[in-house]
Amino acid sequence: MEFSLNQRALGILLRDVLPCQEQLGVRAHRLGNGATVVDMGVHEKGGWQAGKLFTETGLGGLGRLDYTVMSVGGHLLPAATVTVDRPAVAELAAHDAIYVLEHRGVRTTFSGPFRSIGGMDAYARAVPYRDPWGKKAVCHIQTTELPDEGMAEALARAIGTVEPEDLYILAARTGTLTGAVQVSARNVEQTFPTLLDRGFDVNCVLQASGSAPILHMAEDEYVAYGRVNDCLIYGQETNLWVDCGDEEIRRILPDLTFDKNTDIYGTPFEELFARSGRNWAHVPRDWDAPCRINFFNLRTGRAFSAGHIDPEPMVRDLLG
Amino acid sequence: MDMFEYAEKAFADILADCPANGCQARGIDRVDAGNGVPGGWSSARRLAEGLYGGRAIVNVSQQLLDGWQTPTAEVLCDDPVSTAGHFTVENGVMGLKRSDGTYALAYSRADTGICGNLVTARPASLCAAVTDAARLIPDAVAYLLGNGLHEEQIQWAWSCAPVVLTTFEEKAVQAARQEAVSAHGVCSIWVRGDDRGLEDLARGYGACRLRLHSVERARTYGAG
Repeated sequence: MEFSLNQRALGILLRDVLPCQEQLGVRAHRLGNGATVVDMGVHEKGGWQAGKLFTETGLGGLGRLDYTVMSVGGHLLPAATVTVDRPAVAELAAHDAIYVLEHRGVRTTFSGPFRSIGGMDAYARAVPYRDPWGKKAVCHIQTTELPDEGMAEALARAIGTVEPEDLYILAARTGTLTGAVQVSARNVEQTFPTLLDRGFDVNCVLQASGSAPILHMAEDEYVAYGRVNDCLIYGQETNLWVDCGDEEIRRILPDLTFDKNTDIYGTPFEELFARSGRNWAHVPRDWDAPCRINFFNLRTGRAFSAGHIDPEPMVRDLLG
Repeated sequence: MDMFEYAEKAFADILADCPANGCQARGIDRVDAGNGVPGGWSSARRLAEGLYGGRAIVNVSQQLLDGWQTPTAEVLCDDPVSTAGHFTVENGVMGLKRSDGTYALAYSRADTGICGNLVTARPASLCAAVTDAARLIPDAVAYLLGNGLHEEQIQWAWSCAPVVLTTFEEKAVQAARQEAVSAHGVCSIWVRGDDRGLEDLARGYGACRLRLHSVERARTYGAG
């Protein structure tokens, strides 16, 4: 494949983000080693437009976020609707927040198209695409602290083909509007690792779209973490257009969606996260599951669906 | 691009698309978007974006309201306070007025002779219907600031309101618009700081449902 996810993401950055910092409520910093860190909602205010661009760069320019409206328990709420081309590539090789960098004893998770350079992790390697450009890298991080020179150097070393001055790192806290938007936009994103874990051939997915409500309710990072993840496990719906045998879908369908966790279903994610020591590494893999998935099998004309949207936890989150 | 530059660009886009967009250019700084011509969706939406000076995303979609797929305008605003003033009507005109008195972009029902870029449309036009549906945020911000909230408390906003065009009769369409916004319009505003009195403030607002999200208390006032 001749296109470069990093080149496409950098194009968005250079055209729509860096010249429009005041308009977006973001600020770019040049670190001592030349790396560019764009604060899209750590110390800066960020907002709707910043959240959209954080997401679209994170998809390597292969997807689009549109703001739509969802009715949740009778309350009209803004929602993040994502439509994505080459969904397996965009999600698994770029958007998924999977790559873990260990730096000075701290494990930090990154997402973004840099993961497609050489295939940085197992999920990125699950698709044949590798970024052919490799000269510059665009990375995304959900964090309360802006990355420093040391982290940028470690990341550049891990990528291998770039120097720190070739790195562009976009950062936002969860407890900002940018953070809430970019998490709710991880609707299709959350689905792909789940499919892969169950041995489904993700290259059968021809098209994908997804929506989830946006509940930015809290500056407190842990409260925000709970609210935004409730939007995914109780409010997200993803559509997949596939070309495969129906039996392949039927095989995985009962085990896909979050409602399979009957023992904890309905519990706010804030509480589930606390039970896991507020550490993603201790969150059972089955708790990071999509809310509802619809399959449209173009080979057979049949439709399949698993999971359901549950407004109650989100209404509780909305009211506080 | 600052807000004035963005507003100028929005006007230039509307002007450049005349007459395909259903509007009529009248010189280099006047566009009729709904007086002698019907106007249309693209110019109405671009006008609303221009009035927000690039600090908001304006969508026009449809929602199922009372069993009807009803056109709605949704606004996602990153700077509700700085943009609220653009919707204040002064001598029949609203818009982005520079310090020298000229407008980067103005909107009124008729040409009042102002200096600068002007879009005109009568109240019973699509342009006016979209603009009215897109102005829930500035109206709510004016209400909040007038009732004791400080500018720095107001962070972001979102609104959704029906686009109502029922008749050419001016008073009737304005009444229908008011009724529809009151029944179905929603305006969410994210606030910081002291949250005392927010529930009363939200409930005391009559134009539409006003929800105030306190990001420090992680609570919504006016939603119940």
